[in-house]
Amino acid sequence: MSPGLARAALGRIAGAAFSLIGVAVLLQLMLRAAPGDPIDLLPDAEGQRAALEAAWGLDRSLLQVLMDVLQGRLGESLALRPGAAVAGLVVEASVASAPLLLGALPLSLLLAVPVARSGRGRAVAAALSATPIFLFAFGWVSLINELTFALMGAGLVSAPPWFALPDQPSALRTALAALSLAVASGNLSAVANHLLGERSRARASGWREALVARGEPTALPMLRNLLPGALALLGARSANLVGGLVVLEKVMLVPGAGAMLWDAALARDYPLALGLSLAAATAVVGLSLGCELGRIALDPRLQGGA
Amino acid sequence: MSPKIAALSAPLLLLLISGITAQVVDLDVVADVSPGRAGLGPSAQLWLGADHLGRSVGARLFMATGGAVGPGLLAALSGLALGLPLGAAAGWWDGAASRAAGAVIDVLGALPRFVWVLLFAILYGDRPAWIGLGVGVAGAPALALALRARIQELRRVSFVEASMLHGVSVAEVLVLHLIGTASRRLIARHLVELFVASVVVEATLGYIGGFGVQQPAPSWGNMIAFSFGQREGNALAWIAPAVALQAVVATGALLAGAIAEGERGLGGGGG
Repeated sequence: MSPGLARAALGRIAGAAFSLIGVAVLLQLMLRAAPGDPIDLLPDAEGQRAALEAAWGLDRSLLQVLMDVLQGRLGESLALRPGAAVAGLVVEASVASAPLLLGALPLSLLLAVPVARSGRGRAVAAALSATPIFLFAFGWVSLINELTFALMGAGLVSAPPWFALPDQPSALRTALAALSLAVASGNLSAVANHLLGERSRARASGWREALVARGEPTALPMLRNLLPGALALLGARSANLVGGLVVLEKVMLVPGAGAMLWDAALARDYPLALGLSLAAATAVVGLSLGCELGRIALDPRLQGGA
Repeated sequence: MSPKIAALSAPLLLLLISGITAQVVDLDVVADVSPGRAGLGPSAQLWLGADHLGRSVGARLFMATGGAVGPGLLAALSGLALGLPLGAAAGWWDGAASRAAGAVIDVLGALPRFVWVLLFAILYGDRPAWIGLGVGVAGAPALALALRARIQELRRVSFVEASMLHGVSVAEVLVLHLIGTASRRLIARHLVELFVASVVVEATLGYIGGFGVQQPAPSWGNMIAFSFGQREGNALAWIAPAVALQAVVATGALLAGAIAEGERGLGGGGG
């Protein structure tokens, strides 16, 4: 790794870490500003207030709580999985969501390249990208379900092995969910439009004309020229991807961090909901950082500390 | 205003008027269950037919706009209230003020929209206002970043430097010229996006359930979830809200695109 690349990478990593600390502080401030007191909700608990405050960590200062968060101590789940460590639940759910998230990111790039290359399908990509993510997933799920039921009803097929019940893991469902996330998060259209614009600019550039004049292939240099910008765009849109995950996991019944956040919020499980929110912020900042580091690695001009 | 922008604004304006009207008219779409007309198709009395409980789909579609428009307006206002000062501070000043505004933008932008909405719902109550506020806070960083870029681009141009040399105050140059005049299209585009995003979030919450407008009260999202899968009866009960939502989203995207075209047509700085 060149010193310029290392310097630029360290700067970005420090920035990402600072943002995450900021999110942890913000979440704690929001919690402290929330009205009500959980102990008030318990019958005859006034006598045990001090003990309950200590047990639930309500008597801890903001600094103490932040130190706990930095050490991975996020408390215990109160309602969804009572007594289970939030950190463990968050890690478990995040691991389950990772294939979906990490699959959707390259998928949006892979799908955008042919759209941008041919110039066709832009309107379709734009229309699909503009579709609300729950409606897009609902369309997929309904179409596949109806078709499968129709085929099964006609006696043409028996229940296919991938036609999983809601509580069974399904590779097809995860793949469809990743595709839905790549398209309906708006990434497909945004990246395709970006690539199309940048391609026109690169085509008119001197370096490409020189390559053509020398009879050398232009596809790879073009890709290398266009990728950094596309990565920057994907990084900037990472919050859309993670936000879409929350909805998609609920609609497509994929068990993961997004679905767990929704359930934790419904159950008013504050420690778990805050832990998962911090995990969502980590995913956003992490994806953004990964894209940024990829951009810096691909573009030597950015390695001078820019 | 270009004819294209005017034409694309009309459906959103219609939604706005419909939403405000739905708040004031007294139309009972909750208790009007009528088994005798369950699943009826469109007719002169029921122009979109009835759902499987015999409730008018058209009336529910109309009344659902009441729950979508309020949070949408609040999302646009709160996004503006937060994004504008952050973007202006990050773009105009150098040094600590700019870095501090940039850090706040980064922190706010690290939480996705749905996470903001769920956090507000569990911490402060599941009320429409919090949906709008959640969407507004989540959208503020995008507005702030766009505004920062615009102001950074413009603050060294000759008319700004000339204004400052003639003694025009920073506030006047920043608020009146750089934000009010040069960035008005950029701001309008973000307001449209925030409004539409809030309508989508409200429908999504209703569709998944647990938050937002719950049955028997109507929301476009819960109408889709509630009526889809009824093998017998009127498919318009779920198709109509899905089409209405998609139409709003598509119109919003086209309107934002048309405004962005206008920005580019004016060389980016005329926005």
